[in-house]
Amino acid sequence: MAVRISIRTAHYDVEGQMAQQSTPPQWSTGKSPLRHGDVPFRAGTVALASAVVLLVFAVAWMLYTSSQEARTAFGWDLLFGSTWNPVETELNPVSFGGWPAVRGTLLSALIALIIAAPLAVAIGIYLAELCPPVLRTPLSFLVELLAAVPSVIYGVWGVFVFVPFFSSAVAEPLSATVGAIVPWFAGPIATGRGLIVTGIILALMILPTIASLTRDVLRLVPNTQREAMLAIGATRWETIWLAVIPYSRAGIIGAIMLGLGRALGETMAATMLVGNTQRISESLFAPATTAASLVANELTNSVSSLHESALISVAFALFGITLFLNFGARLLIWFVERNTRGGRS
Amino acid sequence: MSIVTRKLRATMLSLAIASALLLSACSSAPAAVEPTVVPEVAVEATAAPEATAIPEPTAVPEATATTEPTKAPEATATTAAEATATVEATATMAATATLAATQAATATKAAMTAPTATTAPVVASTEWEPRQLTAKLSGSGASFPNPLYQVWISVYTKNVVPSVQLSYSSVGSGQGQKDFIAYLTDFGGTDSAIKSGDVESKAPDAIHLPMVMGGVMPMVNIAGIKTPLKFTPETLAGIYLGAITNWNDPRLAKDNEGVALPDLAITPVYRSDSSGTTSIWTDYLSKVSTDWKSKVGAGSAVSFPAGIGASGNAGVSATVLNTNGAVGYVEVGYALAAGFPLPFVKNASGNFVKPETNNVSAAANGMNISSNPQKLATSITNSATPDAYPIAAFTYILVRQKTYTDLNKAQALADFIYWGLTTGQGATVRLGYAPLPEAMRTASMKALKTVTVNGAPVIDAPIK
Repeated sequence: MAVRISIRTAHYDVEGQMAQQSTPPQWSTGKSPLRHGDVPFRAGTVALASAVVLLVFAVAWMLYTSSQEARTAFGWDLLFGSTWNPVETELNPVSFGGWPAVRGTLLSALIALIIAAPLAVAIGIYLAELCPPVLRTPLSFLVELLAAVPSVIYGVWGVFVFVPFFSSAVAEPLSATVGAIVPWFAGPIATGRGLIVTGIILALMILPTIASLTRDVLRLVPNTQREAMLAIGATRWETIWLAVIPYSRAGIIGAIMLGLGRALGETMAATMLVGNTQRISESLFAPATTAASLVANELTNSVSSLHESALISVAFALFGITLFLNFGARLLIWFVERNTRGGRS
Repeated sequence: MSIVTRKLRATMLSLAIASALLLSACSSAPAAVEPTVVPEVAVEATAAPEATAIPEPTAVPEATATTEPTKAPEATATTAAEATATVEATATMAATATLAATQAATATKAAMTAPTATTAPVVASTEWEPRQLTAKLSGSGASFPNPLYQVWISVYTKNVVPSVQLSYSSVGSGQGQKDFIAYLTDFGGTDSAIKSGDVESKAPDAIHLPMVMGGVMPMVNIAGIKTPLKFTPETLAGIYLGAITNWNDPRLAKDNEGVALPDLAITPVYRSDSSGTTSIWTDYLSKVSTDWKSKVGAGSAVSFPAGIGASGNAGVSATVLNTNGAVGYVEVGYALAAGFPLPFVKNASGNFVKPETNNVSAAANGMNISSNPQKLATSITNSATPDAYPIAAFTYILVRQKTYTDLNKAQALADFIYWGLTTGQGATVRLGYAPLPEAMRTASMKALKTVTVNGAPVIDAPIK
């Protein structure tokens, strides 16, 4: 029987830890713990670790109190209302409905995930299992390098290269044919910026993140798993599919969730590509907005304190969505780990 | 996004200026070998562009108090000081230019004093030098005047009063007002006035000092059309309301006879980030269109009924450039730096006017200037002056009338602002801004002179 390894995905920093080592070694019982620096070291790490927790709560508290004004004025409309109008006029009262932004955030992240997740996992599998050793190091290095490219560069590339190409090569023909029936792909394509372009660029951004984490996770699967499968006559594909992937499923889900987190919170590239309009359109080609870009765009120069408060509410909602999704991911991982106890081989 | 584009724009502008000045410096540098000739050369080399910067006396009836002779030497000094600083700045980049720059610097210093000496009988009463005070001043606010303020600060702290430390962060008008109200900064920069209710409750002694003017213009990209288009208030409002959706609309064709406007959808582009530029644009549209006023209104961020949002002037211009049929509004200075043709906009008097510097300045002519120093902030869009470009605005520096506590600091700040209102105005045109008309400039100075610390005025300088 193979040595069982639990792949822990605490905060998605995927790390392998041998099961029998999972209990930390006991602290030294020597006469002078101070001499070895144990006590100060422990105190220091505890302080730093709790500082992180405090920071999260401090951020949440700030978002909560600063959004008070708008929340009392608009309530749930801040999340589900669809009119965003910071300036009062005769016909249009001031209204802060964050639904276009929340919807844009969710949709663009979803598009990104649908495109990136299968591709990235495939890349990770190739790098970990199938890639010839000569190529593995340079390819892995390049993938990690892609993950480190700042988002503004993806945004610039999107604006100047991808969007013009995509609108003429894909969006226009698609909207002229399919778009006539399916409202999701309806025209007109004016500038080419919209949710789908944002989603694709976000997919490119999160792809290397997911791919390199998947590779790391797969490398942690003990070779005995593979050897056992190969020994009973399994093919490469069967080995990977039946012995390797089930073992690292939780880690792969963690990697995908980390990618999703990046897609949800991406501000710079989204602002440059999404079109920044508060109107909701069924078409994915039409300009839209995301929560992060709305806050980044309007907060610095807000019209009124209510406007500022409403923007902070949108930020609060984004914080909540991220928290909620992370929590969901933890649940999913826990569920998956429980069901695959002992592996499937 | 916005920070990046602001910096990009600032860099672009300053590079443009630096290169322009380097050219002029190169032409005057050889003359520096003979010190006696230099002042004259400097005067000739710099007077020509400067002439446009100073408003014509005919355009400013109030300016009669200011005599011609006093302006000429001052203008020379302006450009000379400017050139010196920027040449020095470029010299740090190009080591080979160091010698030439030093020569030019000494030459221009001579130029600064020489004309004043020759015209001493005339300007004796108006002579003013900034005090060499040691102080640290900080301000924050509008991004629109940021390139200009940065040039002013660099010239002022390098050549005029080296002992003073000045900083201005471009964080947006709204944040600038907030920082100023919260006493985080010594002065604020803003394109829009603090709301009247807020002035009384939060900053009762705030003074808005108009510093410089700027215009906002529509920028158009239609493949194959290079002629500047003509817009009327109706067509501009119609386009941004989504009522005019095609370039071949008869309303546009009527004003642009001879231009073959194609059958092409119009994509209006607006600023997605809340900005002073949007304030000016929507303020104008609210004045000229009742539909706009009732549906959209005016503000730094409004709910645009049509079009697509892009962040910053650079974002708007990139979007317009990438999109056939797009129109976007940008600051004139930015469009000039990016090399766009200036369009015509029909003003309140029915004339089609380009946003040239003098036309932007003209927007402030004929306005009623309040004698109350706290009431200088006014909207000047849709000006009634015949040659005024209608989409123009002031940008202001916020100072405190009574609540400065550090006399030294207040004096140093007042000197800097006064310098900006006099010598500094010479730098405006090259950066794409329009200088203040004479009446407004003097009103701004008068307001500055009402600043007191414990009842004592902080600056005693001539209104000139």
